[in-house]
Amino acid sequence: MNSPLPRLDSRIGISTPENIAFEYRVAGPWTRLPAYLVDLLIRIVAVIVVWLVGMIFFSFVDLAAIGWFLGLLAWFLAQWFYGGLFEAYRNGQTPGKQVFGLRVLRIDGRPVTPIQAILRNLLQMVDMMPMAIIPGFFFGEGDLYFPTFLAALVPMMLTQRHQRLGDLVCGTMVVVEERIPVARLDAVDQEGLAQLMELLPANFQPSRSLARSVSHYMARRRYFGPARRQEIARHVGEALAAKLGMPANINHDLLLSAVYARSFFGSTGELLNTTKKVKGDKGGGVGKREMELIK
Amino acid sequence: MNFDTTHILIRERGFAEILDLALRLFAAHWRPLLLAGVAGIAPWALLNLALLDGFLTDTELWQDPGQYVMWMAALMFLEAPLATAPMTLYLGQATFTQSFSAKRIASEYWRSLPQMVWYQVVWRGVLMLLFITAAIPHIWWPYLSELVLLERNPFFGQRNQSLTTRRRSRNLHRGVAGELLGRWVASLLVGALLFTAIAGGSRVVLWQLTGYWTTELVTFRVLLPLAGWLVLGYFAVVRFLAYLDLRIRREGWEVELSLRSEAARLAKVA
Repeated sequence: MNSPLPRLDSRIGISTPENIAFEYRVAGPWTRLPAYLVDLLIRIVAVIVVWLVGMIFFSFVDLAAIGWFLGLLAWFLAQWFYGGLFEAYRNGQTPGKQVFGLRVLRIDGRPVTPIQAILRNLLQMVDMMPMAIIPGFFFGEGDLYFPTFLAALVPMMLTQRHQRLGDLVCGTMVVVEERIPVARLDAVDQEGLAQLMELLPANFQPSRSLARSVSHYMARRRYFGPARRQEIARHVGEALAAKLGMPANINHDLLLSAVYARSFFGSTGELLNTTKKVKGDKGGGVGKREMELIK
Repeated sequence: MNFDTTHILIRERGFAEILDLALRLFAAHWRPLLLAGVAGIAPWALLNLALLDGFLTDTELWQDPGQYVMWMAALMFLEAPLATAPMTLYLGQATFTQSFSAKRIASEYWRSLPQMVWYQVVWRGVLMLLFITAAIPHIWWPYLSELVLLERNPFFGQRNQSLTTRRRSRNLHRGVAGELLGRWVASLLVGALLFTAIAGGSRVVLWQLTGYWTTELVTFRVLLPLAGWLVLGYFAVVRFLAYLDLRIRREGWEVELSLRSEAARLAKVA
């Protein structure tokens, strides 16, 4: 195996017919499991509530059988149509998926259609196969049957988009709606920073991508030791020092802090040595400019 | 290390994503992983069978198969790091060098053996004897095997103050015990689900293919240990990815990648 192997990741790129590129993280079986369990719990509670209310109500008029029938009807509807109807009318999300930030989409990134939503959920029954049996599980009296979900696990393992059978048939996939963690602007208060800020040319304005990379570095900087900081900062530090005509032996970590301050706190560095919030930062939110850049 | 050319994209991941990605990695490399797995696991599986077969032939113990299952699980738990080491070594080569040789895997396994035996058999064995402390290695140094196998730090500190495995492990695992405990509990749940699905499912599939139910003897001798080793093999892949993830976060690999690509852009502009 000496030829380069393809890159392995859960993110996939999609280009819409309008030529807009998106990147999604596809959800595999273990990412989907908590959402499935929440939906299962909701279905069980709903069926029990309908059955109980039906039994209590119809028992008064001696028609308890109707209460049973209602319970069975609720079970049937919940089992076969709960997922499909929610995904069809809530843009690819069941309550469980909503809680865990998952959404069903077509493989080209467009919203799922009602027919796709219902069909992919009807096929969930196949996913449960094969049903396993533990004979005599109930104190030797009765056997325990349980779904193994191997019919879902194997296709999800083999497809790049982690598609189960229902997804393969309907051309859908489940993606994670990633929420970018909101981070506040980090205070920059290293010794010598103010002097270095003065050395930066007045017309120097870091590019959007440079500001984003430096912001990433600053957010993680406190986890690294001094040697590791220098090692990481050196990559950009050397190129930037050469570009700005600064001495080659400059402290690269400090230089990146100065670039960060210039990017987010302006040329005056008005927020240096403070933990003041920037305008637009409400309770731990990022400043407007950083928000724009992070996007 | 060149992070741009790694087989697995370098970025931070949550544990659920790691579990999912491990499935894909397992599927993408199933042949070499199976070979490495068989090479590492087969001797231990045969040893277990030889050690525990008495439980299954002795009529009295046959009344209580729980004992057999418990001993089998304890042995597999203890042997797992050594048995899955060839898989870890293969994954290390495939990820970072994108080429592998069985000879190199064998020599690295042999070289790591003293540390693996000391930390993962002797130490873990002692902790397992007290039962309640069996969880400690999984919370305080879960990626010790990966460190021993892939980083090859020395056992003892020498005069040149080189980083020993113990110190490196302390640096890597420090301050994340809570998260590692959560991951271990999640792994136990996922492992139990997978084991039940594989063991139960394969029995039904065999019945559908042959028309006969596997006998209890075959189930206990072959099917259950096979399902157990499969799950442990899968978790060797999970552990490898989780180890990478911890190092990515600890050492800022993805930050370094982002700054390096920015440096390349600056150089291009210049």
